[in-house]
Amino acid sequence: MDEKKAKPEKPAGVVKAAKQEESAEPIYTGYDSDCFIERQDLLNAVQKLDQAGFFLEDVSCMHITEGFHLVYHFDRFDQPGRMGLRVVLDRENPEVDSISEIYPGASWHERECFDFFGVRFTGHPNLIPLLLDPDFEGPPPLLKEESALKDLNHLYPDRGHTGISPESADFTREINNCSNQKSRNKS
Amino acid sequence: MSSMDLRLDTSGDYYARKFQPTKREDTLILNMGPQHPSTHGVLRILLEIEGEYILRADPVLGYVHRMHEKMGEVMSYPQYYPNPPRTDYLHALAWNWAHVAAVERLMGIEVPERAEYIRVITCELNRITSHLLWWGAYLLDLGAFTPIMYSFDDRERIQDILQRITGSRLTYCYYRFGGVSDDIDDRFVEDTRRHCAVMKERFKMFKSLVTDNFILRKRVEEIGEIPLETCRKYGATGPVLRGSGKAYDVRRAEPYSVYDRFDFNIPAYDTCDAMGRYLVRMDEMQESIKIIEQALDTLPEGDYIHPKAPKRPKPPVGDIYFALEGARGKIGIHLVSDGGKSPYRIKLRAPGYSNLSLFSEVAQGTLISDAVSILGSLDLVIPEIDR
Amino acid sequence: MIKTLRETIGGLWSLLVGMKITAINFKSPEITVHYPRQVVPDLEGFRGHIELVPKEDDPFKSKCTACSNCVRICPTSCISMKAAKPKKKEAPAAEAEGSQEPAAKKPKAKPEPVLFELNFNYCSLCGLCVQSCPTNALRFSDDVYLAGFTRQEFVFDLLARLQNQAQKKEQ
Repeated sequence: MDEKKAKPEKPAGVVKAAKQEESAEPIYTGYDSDCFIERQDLLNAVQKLDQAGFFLEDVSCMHITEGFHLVYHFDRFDQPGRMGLRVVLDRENPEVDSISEIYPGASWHERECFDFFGVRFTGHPNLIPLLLDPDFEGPPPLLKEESALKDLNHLYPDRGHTGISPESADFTREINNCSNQKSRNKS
Repeated sequence: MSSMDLRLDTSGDYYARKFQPTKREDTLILNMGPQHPSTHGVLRILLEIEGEYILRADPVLGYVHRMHEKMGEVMSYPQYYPNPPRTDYLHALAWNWAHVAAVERLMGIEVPERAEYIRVITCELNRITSHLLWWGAYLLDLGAFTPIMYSFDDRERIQDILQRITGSRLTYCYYRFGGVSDDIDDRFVEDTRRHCAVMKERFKMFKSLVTDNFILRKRVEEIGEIPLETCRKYGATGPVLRGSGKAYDVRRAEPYSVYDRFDFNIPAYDTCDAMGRYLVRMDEMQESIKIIEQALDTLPEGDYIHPKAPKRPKPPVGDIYFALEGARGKIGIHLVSDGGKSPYRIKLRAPGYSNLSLFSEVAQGTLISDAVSILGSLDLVIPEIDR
Repeated sequence: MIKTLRETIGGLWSLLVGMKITAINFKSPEITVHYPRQVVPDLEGFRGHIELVPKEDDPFKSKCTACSNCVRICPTSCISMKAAKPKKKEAPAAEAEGSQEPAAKKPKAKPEPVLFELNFNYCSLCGLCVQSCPTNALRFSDDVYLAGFTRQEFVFDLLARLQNQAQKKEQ
């Protein structure tokens, strides 16, 4: 059926994305481009996306064996295409820079992650409970039990999990090629 | 004893204390909500006011938080069917669709064409009911009582049509992995056609009664201006964004289902004010009718659900982000599967959440009565925001 | 001055248009239904709580084979069921519990429910139980005006309900 949207073609340089495409299990991923980045590079990368005209869809967090996996979803109005920025935080110190300076709309998404997972966002202007009761005691509700945790290799097989630098040519190419235009013409 | 304590304690609750630090002596902290009628549910907004003017505003959420995301993790995929429609009960079918479609795409379940058409028709009907309710309730906020009576008349008729097929009137749970739960019949087609014709006449009446009304224009024009850049920074979508001049609609931008086969416009107004958002929604209802009529004309025969659709799906490992256009904006579902019978993580993106987050910026410097107008023009459904 | 005048005229015009529409609608027939003196005529498709479907040949017995698919699929676990094979030892116990009398007649030891309870307080009317039933033994009731004062009133014994319905039919 036409609903199956193939991922746009990737330049040969981005090996891991191409690899995932070949495994072809989930055909439609909803991501036109997604990459892991290192924790300290986040602000830099988001800045680049901001300049490229992206808006923030949401910040999704999940609890994994390594710690926490944050996915920032970005999309564009003029040239639609979803970009996923993946950041892995370690278990002992789940802390990452807040992007609410660049995208004020991220403020609530980050507060939600703080609520549900206990992830702290440094530089957040108002990191207080948003959806949960401030008197709520106990561990954050979306933390999983140790036995239920899965690691990155299980959840995202067949791809590298090391971050690419936002300064690299790869990253710029990911941004430039982030578009669902091709598949749109096809359907 | 306790009443004494209450009287002495002027610091307020946790959120009021956090909101407190103000250097000025002549301002007042006002709690708007959580039971304020204009907040459409249980939204509380902390306001710092000087006279009638708002200096700062901070929404407080979570009064109807139900943790749908956790429920998704403990229930199997089909068991989660009734949950997403209950987040946004006004456009329930869109949420139903988002959940179903995410799983379908993750597993590669094929959906028969007829089912896709039925989905489009019912989802658009539901969009009209949502906008009609917003229309009535918004005008109620602004002090006009009669319109909600007219809008409910039309809305109830659409609900009658949908009830015959789906069995419910509000929190529909109609779509299934691989199709829909029941086929539509000739009477549904007939009723829908007839009602579409009625609605077209009604829109003319709505326009002369309300849209062209002098008082309404005074209350919405040049109120709550949201520049496009603010929309982008906050991730606002749907009519809020289109009321700021950007014709961005997920049905066009990321075409899903069979939307690319229909001819419809995406209304956008670049006035950026409440009137722009109002007009977008009024036009959108007419576009929805256009889509429904086209879909009814070209409704194919066939199965309404794929005969081999899995009853107990177990999607392969992977994650997926599926977005579609709800009545309030972009509904997104981020689904992570570890190969088990329930999701590893399901994240719901509620459009109202992002739309409301820009309120504190927009409300600055406006009158309280205008803030009511702005809140209404954002079309909030609190259970969707709180999830 | 001219602006004020124009505004006044604009306001008056809006008023007139509004009055005209109100007048037109005033003449149109009434659309509200005055419950309880009137009831809504057409409620096709209404989904009330679930009930058991009787067998074609015996209205006192349900089609249910006690496979407990509905119990497992229910998102809110609001169905509770106990099954028994009528031929086996539990059969007398099942009868004592108020099950069907002709149960022992059946030569094949097909399991059947001896208890089928629905806690309607938690039901979200998703219809998964009805759809997952292999023998179509469940259907939605059409009691629109269901109301009660306590939560206990919404815990339904569906087997008893089936008996009542069958008795009413016989009369």
